[in-house]
Amino acid sequence: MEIVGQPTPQETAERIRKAVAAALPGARIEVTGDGNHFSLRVESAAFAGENRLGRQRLVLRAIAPLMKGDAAPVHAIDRLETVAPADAGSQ
Amino acid sequence: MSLDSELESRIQGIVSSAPCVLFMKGSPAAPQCGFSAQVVQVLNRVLPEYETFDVLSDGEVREGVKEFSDWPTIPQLYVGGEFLGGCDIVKEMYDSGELHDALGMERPPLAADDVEISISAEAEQILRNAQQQQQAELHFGIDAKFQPFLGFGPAAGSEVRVPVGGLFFLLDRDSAGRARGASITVIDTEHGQRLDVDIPAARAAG
Repeated sequence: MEIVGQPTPQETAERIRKAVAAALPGARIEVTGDGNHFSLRVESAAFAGENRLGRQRLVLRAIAPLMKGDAAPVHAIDRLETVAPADAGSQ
Repeated sequence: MSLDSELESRIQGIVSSAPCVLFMKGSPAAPQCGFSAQVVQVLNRVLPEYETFDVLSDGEVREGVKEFSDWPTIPQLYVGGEFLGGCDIVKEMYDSGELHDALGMERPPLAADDVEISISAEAEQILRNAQQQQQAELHFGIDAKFQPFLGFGPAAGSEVRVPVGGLFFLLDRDSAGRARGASITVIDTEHGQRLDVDIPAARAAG
């Protein structure tokens, strides 16, 4: 049965993308996912000089509001890849 | 939004209560979430003992620790009072050896040259059949409490590959050191047959 009012995975993915884009202007963002679990790849100049924890924090902080509470649209980020433009070429 | 000071000092107390503290859903014996289970699996390889806090038992800490760490998800791992990361980061740090560094432990070498594991023909046949059904890599591990583990799944990419009889086992770097001279046989019990793993390193450790 279809639950009325439940956002589609595409809608939720779009909300994630917008939230990250607002926090990290100019970032290249790819979001994939099936419903409550999503994977992200984010490439942003803001990552330069940040370690892995700092980079993930910048992204997760932006989408934290979507992950709050038991009825949150996003339950988990399965994979989060953070890339600074400088290391994009070498990977 | 900020953390009230009473809750903040409670969480600070938990974080500094042990050298290694994991905020998780459920307990190490019965994790209630796949991500918590993955971190437990990693920590079990490295440490015989560590502290855990079940956030499902305490709604205040469950939400509070997210503010405290500035990190929106559980599990969360603290080492020496410092926030290390969530599931992704802990697994990456294990694979690269950085988790051992953070815990002040020596990185076990990622080499299998001197790892010899023997297996009886009967045990090999059981595992071969199981692997054909599962169509996946065979993982063999011995955790920090010398509990053996056999399972199937994809390779993480950081394991060592050890020929065992006509099979290949994937071992994580901690297990490789403990697996020297291990032997796998089938034993009969009153409930039927089961695999038995003899681990010389467990006896050496007393």
